Amino acid sequence: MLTKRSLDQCIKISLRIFLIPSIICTLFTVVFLVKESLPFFKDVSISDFLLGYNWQPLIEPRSFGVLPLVSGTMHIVLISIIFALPVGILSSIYLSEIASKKIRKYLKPSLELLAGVPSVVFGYFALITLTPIIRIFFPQIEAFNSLSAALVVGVMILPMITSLCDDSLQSLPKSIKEAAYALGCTQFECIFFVQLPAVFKQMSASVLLAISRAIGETMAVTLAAGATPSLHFDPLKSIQTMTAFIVQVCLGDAQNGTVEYHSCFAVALLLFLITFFFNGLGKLILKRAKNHDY
Amino acid sequence: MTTREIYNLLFIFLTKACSYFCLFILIFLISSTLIKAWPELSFEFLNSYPSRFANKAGIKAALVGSFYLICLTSIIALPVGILSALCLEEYIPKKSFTKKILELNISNLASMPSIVYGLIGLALFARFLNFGTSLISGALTLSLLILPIIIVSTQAALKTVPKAISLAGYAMGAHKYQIVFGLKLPYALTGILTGVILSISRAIGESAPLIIVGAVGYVSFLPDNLFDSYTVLPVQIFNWAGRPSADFHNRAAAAIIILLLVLLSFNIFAIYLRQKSIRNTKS
Amino acid sequence: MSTEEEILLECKNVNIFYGKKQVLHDINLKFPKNKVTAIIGPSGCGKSTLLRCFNRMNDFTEGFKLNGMIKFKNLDIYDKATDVPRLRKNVGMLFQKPNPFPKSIYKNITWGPKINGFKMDYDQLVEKCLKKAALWDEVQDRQHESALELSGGQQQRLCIARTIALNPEFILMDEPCSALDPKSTNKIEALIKELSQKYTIIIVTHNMQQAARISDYCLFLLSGKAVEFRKTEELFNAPKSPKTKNYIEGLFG
Repeated sequence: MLTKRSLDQCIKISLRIFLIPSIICTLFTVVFLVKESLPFFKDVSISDFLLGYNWQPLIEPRSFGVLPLVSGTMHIVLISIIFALPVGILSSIYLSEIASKKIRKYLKPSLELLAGVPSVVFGYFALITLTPIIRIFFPQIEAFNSLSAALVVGVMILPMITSLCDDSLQSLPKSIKEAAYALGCTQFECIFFVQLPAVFKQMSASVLLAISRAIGETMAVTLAAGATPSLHFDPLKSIQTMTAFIVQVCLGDAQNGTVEYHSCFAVALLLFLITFFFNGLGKLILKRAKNHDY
Repeated sequence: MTTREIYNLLFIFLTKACSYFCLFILIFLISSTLIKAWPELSFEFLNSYPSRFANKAGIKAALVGSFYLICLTSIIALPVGILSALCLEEYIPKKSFTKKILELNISNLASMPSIVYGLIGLALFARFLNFGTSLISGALTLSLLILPIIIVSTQAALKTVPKAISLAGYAMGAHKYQIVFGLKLPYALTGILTGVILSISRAIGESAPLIIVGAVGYVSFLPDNLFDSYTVLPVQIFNWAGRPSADFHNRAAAAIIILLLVLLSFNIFAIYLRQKSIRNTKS
Repeated sequence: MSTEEEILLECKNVNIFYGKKQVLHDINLKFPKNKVTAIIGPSGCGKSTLLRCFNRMNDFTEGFKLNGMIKFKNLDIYDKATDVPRLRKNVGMLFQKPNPFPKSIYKNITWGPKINGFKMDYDQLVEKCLKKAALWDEVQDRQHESALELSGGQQQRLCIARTIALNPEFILMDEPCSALDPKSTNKIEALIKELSQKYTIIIVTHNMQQAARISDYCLFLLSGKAVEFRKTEELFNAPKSPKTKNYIEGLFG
């Protein structure tokens, strides 16, 4: 007969089974990415890969320097952050400090709706709507370019920055504001010189997390940024990001076992490591900031 | 007016402008797409299969594929996610090394780019387990993707249960499983549901991992069984948007509107649930 | 303590530690059945800690350690073989801040019996318990509404009702009136007096007048030591220890 005590024990043990999928996922990811990249690194040395500036893995003459892909990704990240960071922080200030409770009640969910729009929609928007608009001001812009793609990636990471900064501003104790106002400063001075510095750590963390997200973004850049890996700094021209390259290989017909096929995994491994780094750093800073709370 | 006051007003205006700018982007995006999509939306559009001809192409296969895929993904991911979070939050000792590692693991998985999930799905489900480019591979891949989201939101919901309630339950002679399943879970239910709905919305919009794991852009039949090929709405959009013809771009726009409508209804439901849970715990 | 009183609960050489810090020293006590025993003393002297030993709620506190023996019906409750949930079922507890479950009034009362596998007419049980807790008149028409909508005093009476639904041997009360207004406090004190005819009650209170009003026996704890344990009238009118006298006269605490 099943007593309550033994049932309790049973449940305790059997629930642990459900933790297995998440553990296997991580283990498998790491093992698999490394395993499939090894054949690549037999043919191409790591320094050639990381420092080479010519990426042409699919057609002769082949060359496997990954810098163009990394540069393409960085195009997207830089432009999107330059756009999203100020807009995101200023929006979070409005939401948290300036807007009335009623406005905040309706505005905050609307901005969260933005976060729910799939990236393929943004890719379509960048390619079909945004690029022609930019063409009005910069007629030399190519059909595929990093500017449109980066701007929509900026819009995608905007809600992340806004909500993180909003949360951190909300968690500041009122006493800090009161002390500043009691000394006679304006709202701008209080926010800019007192509150923002107080949440600097959380803001930096939000930037790092947003960077990680921008690096991993796939669909928008695949649709709108192009498939020409090259090392240049012109946002009006076509580029290729690491993620777009992976899609290209998977949609194409690289044979299993060839260098081109394994190059896909080498790039994926690099992508994984870079996002892991930025994400880990961001989370670490957030945790430290929590511990040093007022 | 002093310089300080001018700066103050400028600043306030700037913050307001940024917030409403975000709103404007959302509205502009939807309306510009809607304008292109409007002439294409019709019952015929919803009921046809993709075609070489833009004016005959429809999203029937994509809609049904998305529906099947999401149902499968939910059946797989929801129990695993909710029960892992329960285990993590209630049955693993707090402050233990195991808990820290497990939570670090989940946090890392939550921020892995979706394309990496695609590659994992390809290697593990499509190739190693030999499920091929089928519905079940896609569902398993998506489940892995949304698993961390479900776990994190369920844990957060469980954390909001006041300690006084479990103490009262223990004082009445309840065993741990009765406290967890009879008191804590019901209390946290609306919070958990909100997390579930948000993760399903995310799954509905995903395309990158599915492309890698085999959702194809041209499917002119409805999947019959778990091992059939399939397509989903976001992949169909990707396929049409990537073509040079403007007619296909407009079809893509129409498909986007349908996708956004589905997502909007999910999001509204999630917001409603969140308001309800706040009401429940405040009274 | 007269020998005619039946003993329900006995502490033998009980010493309690939180980590390295000792909070209760050499407690040797016998609690009589069907009487109200009040534990009084200044804040931080270990009253709640002692109370929570009797239903092993201290197990949830990190670093808790008990040396000695606590006997309930001649069984050591800290023995390794003790069925702790069963013990807790037989000992009711009322907390300082009312904590009804976020369920309906009806379900609050039936939850305990249901999880312990009692099979009975629940409607009758709920009516009986609500009547005993002097809450029936106020809530009989809204038994299925949320318990969280009741006032503080009503919530505490609901907690009493759900405790007696399990028919405990004795009831522990940890400053049950400290979060309530005077009117509710009066109601609950009257209730305690009435309940003591059927149940044994041990109540921790920092309100001496309350202890004098409702208890039959009184235990004065100071800095983790039991200073005096006698019939309430004797303790208040003719305290043996000067420390007790000082506390009662308000010189400290």
